[in-house]
Amino acid sequence: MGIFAGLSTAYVMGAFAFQAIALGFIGLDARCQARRMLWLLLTLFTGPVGLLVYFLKGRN
Amino acid sequence: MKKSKSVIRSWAVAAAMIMVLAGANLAGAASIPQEVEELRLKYERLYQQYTQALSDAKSSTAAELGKEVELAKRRYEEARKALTPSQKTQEKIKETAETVKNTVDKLFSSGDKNETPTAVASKELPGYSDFKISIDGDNYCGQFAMTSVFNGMGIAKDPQKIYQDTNPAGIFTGPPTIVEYLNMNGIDASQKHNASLGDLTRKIDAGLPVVVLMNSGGGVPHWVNVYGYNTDAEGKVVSLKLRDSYWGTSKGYEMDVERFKTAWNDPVGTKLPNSLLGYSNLMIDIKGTREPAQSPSALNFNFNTAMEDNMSSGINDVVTGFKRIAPMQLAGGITKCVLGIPGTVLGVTAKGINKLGDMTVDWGKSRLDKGGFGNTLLGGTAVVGGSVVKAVGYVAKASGNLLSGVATMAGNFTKKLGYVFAR
Repeated sequence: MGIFAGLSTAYVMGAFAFQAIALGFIGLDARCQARRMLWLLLTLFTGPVGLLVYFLKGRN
Repeated sequence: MKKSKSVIRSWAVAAAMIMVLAGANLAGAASIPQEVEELRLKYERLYQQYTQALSDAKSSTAAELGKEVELAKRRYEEARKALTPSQKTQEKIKETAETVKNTVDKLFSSGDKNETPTAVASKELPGYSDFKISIDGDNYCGQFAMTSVFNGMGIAKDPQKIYQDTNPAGIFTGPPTIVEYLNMNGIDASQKHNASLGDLTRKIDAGLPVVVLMNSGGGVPHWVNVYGYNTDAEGKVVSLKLRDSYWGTSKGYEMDVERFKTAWNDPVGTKLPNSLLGYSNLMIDIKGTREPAQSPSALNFNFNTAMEDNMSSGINDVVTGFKRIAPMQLAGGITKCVLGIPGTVLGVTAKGINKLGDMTVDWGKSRLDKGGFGNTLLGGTAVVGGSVVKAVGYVAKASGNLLSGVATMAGNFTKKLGYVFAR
C-alpha cells in the first residue's frame, strides 16, 4: 500500500471537511439571496462545483 | 471384475509413482526439509508484522522490519534454491512419471473408458509458471501480475518500464490503472466485480489468464495472476496456480481453494483506512489481445465500485503524474479528486448506513429467535427498520457511485486531452 493508505484517509477526511464547511457556509450565509435549500442540495450533490455556482449566482 | 481391474490399475500407478519419486529423491530432488519450512514461516511472520506496522503508520518500526523482511526473504530463497533440483532434472522426473503412467494406463485400458478418473486433474496455461520476472522496489504486485500476463500472452514487456509507467511512487495500484495500462498495451481487459470461482476457471479453460485482488495478510490488498487450477476426481476445484510478487515470485505457487476464496473475498480487511476500498471478488477480466488503445478510455470504471475506482485512480494519477511530470495526468487526477468529493462523502456515509442497517437486522433476528410476544414485536420492528435503513444505504451508495462515475469520466477525459495534444 505504501503511502496510499495515508493518502486515501486524508482524502476522505478532507472530502468530509470540505462538504461540512461548504454546506455550513451556505446554510448560515446572511448574503444568500433565496432558495437556500436548493443551493444546499446542489452543493451536496456537486461539491465544489455547486459552491462555485453559489458564489457566482447565489449571493447578494 | 471391472472394479478389481480398476483397483489393480490404481495400485500399479501409485506404486510406479512412488518408485519414480523415490528415484528422484535419490537423484537429489529432496522434499523441502524442516529448515526451509522454518525460514519460510519466519519470512511470512515478519512480512505480516511489517504490513501491520505499515497499516498502523509506525514508519520507524516498518522501516526496521522492512530490512528484516528483505533478509529473511533472501535467506529463504537461497535455502530453497539450494534444494530445488535443476530444470533438467525436474523435466526428466516429469517425463519419466508421465511415461510410467501412460504405460500402466495402456496395460489396463481394455474396455472401461467411461470410468470416472480418480487422479487429480490439472489445467494450466503454458508460459506462466517458470517465467523469470525481475523487478525492484516496493509494492510492485500489480506490475508483477501485469508482466506475467503480458509475457503469457506473447507481448514482451519490461517489468521496470511498467513500474515506471504506472506506479513510480510504489503505492497501491488501483484496478482502473491496471485495466487502462493493459488496454493501452494490447490486452483487452475490464473490471469484474463480485466474480465467482467459475468465472475464473472458465477464463482459464478458454486459454486466458486472470488477475485478481487478494488479501496478502492484515488487510493489505495484493494483485495476483491466476493461470491454472487443480480439480479433484469430481471436477471440484481444489487449488489455484498463481504468479505474484509475494508467494509466486520465482515460479508458480499453488494455493488451497478455501484460502484463496477467503483472501479474494475480502482483499482489504475490515480495518480502516484500507476498508474504505470496498472491493470484493474483484477480477481483471482479460478477453484476449487487441490493438493498443491510443488514449485512456473515459469510461474506465465499474459502476458498482465507482467511488473506490475514482478515489484509487485519482490518487494514482496525481502521484504518478507528479512523479513522471505528466501535467495532463496530474490534472486528470486532480479533477477526479476534486469532483469526486460529493460522491466520496455519499459513498462512505452509505457504507456506515449499511453497517448500521445490518447491525439492526441482526439484533432484530436475535430477538426473534428468543420467542415470546415482546421479543417478536421488538425483533420484527428492528428487522423492518433495519431493512429500511439498508435500503436508504443502497440508494446513497448508488448516488455516490453515480457522482463518482461522472468525476471519473471528467478526469479521464482531461487525461485523454494530454494524449490528443501529444499527437
